[in-house]
Amino acid sequence: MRCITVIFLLGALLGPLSLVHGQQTSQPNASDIGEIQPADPKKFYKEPGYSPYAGKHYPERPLFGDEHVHTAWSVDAGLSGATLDPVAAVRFARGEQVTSASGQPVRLSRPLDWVAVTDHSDAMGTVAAIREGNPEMMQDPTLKRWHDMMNASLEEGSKATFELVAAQSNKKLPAALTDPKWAKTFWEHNTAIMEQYNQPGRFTAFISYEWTSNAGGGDNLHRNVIYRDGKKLADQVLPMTTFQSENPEDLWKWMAAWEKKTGGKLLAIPHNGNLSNGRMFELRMFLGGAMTKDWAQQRQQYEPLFEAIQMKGQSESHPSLSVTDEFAVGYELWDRGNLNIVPKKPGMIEHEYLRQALKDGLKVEQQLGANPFKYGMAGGTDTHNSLTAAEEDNFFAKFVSAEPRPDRWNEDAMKFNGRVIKGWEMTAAGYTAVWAMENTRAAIWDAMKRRETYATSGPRMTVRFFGGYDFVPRDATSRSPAITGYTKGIPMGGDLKKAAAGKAPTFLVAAAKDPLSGNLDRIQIIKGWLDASGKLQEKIFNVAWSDAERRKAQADGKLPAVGNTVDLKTASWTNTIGDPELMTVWKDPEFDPALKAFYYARVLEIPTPRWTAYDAVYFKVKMDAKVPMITQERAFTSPIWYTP
Amino acid sequence: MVHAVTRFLREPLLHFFLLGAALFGLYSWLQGGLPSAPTEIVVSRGQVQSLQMQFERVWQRPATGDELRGLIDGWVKEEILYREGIAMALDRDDPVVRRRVGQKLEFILDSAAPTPATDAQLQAWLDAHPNDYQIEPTYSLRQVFFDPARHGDRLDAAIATARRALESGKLVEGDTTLLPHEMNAARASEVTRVFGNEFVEGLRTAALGRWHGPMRSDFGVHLVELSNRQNGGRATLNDVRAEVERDLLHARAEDAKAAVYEKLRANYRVRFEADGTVSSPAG
Repeated sequence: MRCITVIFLLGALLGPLSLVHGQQTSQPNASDIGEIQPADPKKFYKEPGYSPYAGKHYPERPLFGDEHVHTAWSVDAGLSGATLDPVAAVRFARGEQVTSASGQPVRLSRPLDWVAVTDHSDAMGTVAAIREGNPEMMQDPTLKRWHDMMNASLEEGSKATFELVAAQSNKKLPAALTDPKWAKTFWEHNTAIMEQYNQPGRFTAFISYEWTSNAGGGDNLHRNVIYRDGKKLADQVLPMTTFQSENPEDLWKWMAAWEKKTGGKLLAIPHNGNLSNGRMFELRMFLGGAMTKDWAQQRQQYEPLFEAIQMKGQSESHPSLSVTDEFAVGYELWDRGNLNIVPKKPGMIEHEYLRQALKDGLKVEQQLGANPFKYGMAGGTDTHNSLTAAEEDNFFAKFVSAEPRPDRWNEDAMKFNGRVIKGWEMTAAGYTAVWAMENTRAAIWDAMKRRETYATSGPRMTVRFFGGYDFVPRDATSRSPAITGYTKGIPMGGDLKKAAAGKAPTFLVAAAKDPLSGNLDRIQIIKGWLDASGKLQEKIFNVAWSDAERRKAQADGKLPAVGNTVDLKTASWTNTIGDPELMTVWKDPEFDPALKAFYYARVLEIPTPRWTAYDAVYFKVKMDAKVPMITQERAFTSPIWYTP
Repeated sequence: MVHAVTRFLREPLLHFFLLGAALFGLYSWLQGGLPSAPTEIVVSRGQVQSLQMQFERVWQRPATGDELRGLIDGWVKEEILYREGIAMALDRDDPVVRRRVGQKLEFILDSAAPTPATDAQLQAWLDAHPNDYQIEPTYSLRQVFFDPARHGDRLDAAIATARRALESGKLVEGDTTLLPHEMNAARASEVTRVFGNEFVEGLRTAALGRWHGPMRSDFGVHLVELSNRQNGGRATLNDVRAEVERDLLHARAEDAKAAVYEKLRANYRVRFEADGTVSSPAG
């Protein structure tokens, strides 16, 4: 009785305070771009009706960001020498100069619009403690050994990272790393930082984490979980970790429970199908059961986007699956194994690349009545040093040990039991462009959810892609193609309604170059469909291209190459070939209204120096002949689906 | 401070310590001294709630009856072992306990430190770090685009014709482009992002209300009318209050943590047995 009284008194004393928690999000900045300031002397339209924008409400500029950034708080990053924390990651993304862990000053060519810092939820934040030799952790002989390696040298630190990744994959992580008390502490700290740096209207800092499932020993099923909401909701539940489950279906359950409890919204972005050894887009459920409609619906609901390109290669298309695709050949392929470089067996690649999955989705939808692979496109870096530096001439790589140094091209980027991926194979990519109405968490998240996004390999080209039945060639030469696009069609990521008799889908597609990057070579539309005999097909159409006076389409639809101005002696190019803008209206000449199909646009730049070329010049090194020195940067849009 | 208290309240182990301390005090007061061997364990309603809450935070559903009984049995067992262990002084020199307790104190300091800053303090911070809060120039402009490839040799003539039309107040649509035809109060970095560096350079000094050009960009050639320009420069506190406050409080929290430690450190004299040196009070 006495005890109860005491508890009651304490409760009465402290209870009311517990109602006040969390932090208020700041109000949107009143001086956002696009608003007319009251001080403006006039709304400089000389005649009424001049402005085609008046009364229109549509996204005017793509917002570029990285949905995949790790900091020193991620276990593998910290082990490999990362010292920059989430504050540094956000400051770097919004354009500030920072000093990298290897001591080099670095800055983006221009700020990003948004960032999602996605430290691994498993043992988030424990590594800083390993590096510092946290006595509690040092009781564990494995952690102690990693600590010693990390402090010995960068090289040893990298080795420690690989051991840790392998241990995580094989479920042999030391118990001290898996204690939930750490996760809680660092999660709340993380959300507080994102809240402070999120500036609606100027720069969006998402609350997010990566759920890092390495099923079966390194089969990459990782997902980035992105929160639409702020700290107040995010703090109510601890992030899902793979200690609880490495089954993606359980992640969706966790997301559903979180949304129900908090009233907020989440989405997940899977990545690196290329390292999943056939598991990312397998045609069965995680535990081996047959796919169900419910499963397909959940996957579509919680996973609107797929990360098609990042520093560990691209997962958009593979030359063995898309045999007519000349631009998939040799383009940033990491196709030898999984995350532990366990070699692939025949049949695995079929379930790793998005284009094939988009096709498979049509067939599964036919069978189940729901499409599990209705993915739009995202791009991220997956950097592990806080530096979202995806530019070829400013490539700070994935790990501290691979930050700019003369030998990085020839060192081992990943190594397991003698199986190696070399440094030069790293990809300087990528970003996600989002057609959001404004630069806020909610607006960007909503655009991701409706898949109005495209992935780029790093440059910030503008890409518009609309589908409808009534676009005519003149629409591509109208003063503002974007307005026509929204008025007469639906944007990337959407669905075309069933075609009326005699109608075929038409597409308005347009691209403008990144002012700091190469001119444009061409726009292609990639079509996938389920034919009448139940077979999956794909075809690539060249729909707009530069230098049209000297480049004519051949009988098979292929185009002569745009040419090449790259000078490897100076790592430079000229925009004397290619065009700054391309736009056209294209009508599917082979349309069959009875068949399910999807269409997406791929935009290619003219050839420009790859990061290896910049390294070769800066460090005066000669690389092996097999190292690619020239790249064609590109963008892939989210598809538009046709469902009869 | 509200933060600290809130976190404090959400920390089940702290609940327990708090409760423990309170009970300890109560016992001492009622019995006039320490109980020599307390053999009663009270599973309070608060404790049960705290166990339930912990369970829910991970699993996002209430524990079932069986699960809750398991949690309580586990807690009782832990409590008995804990008391016996404390009696044997097993907590001393244990790195886990050491780290955990020290960390909790740090955690509390971390969140407790910042007190709201006054306007004068914010202003002083802003004055001391002007470069961190520069306001960019903004431009309101309208542009007519010419694609050189489309006009070839007749580009100059086309521009001249368009300019005359514009200057007499007529509309000129220009060539098709994805570039915006107008930008309103856009920051210099925004304009740069869209049109490139070269274009923005030309806007710095251009007179308002007149058509300028032809100005070059990576895309082609433009005639540009600037209707408004705000020159930017040093920010006032009203412009950047939220950022200044964030940065000032961050710096203060770091300073406060260091100061608390220094204060604590001053109470200690550290002697190194190996080489016989002594450091006191700080070092």
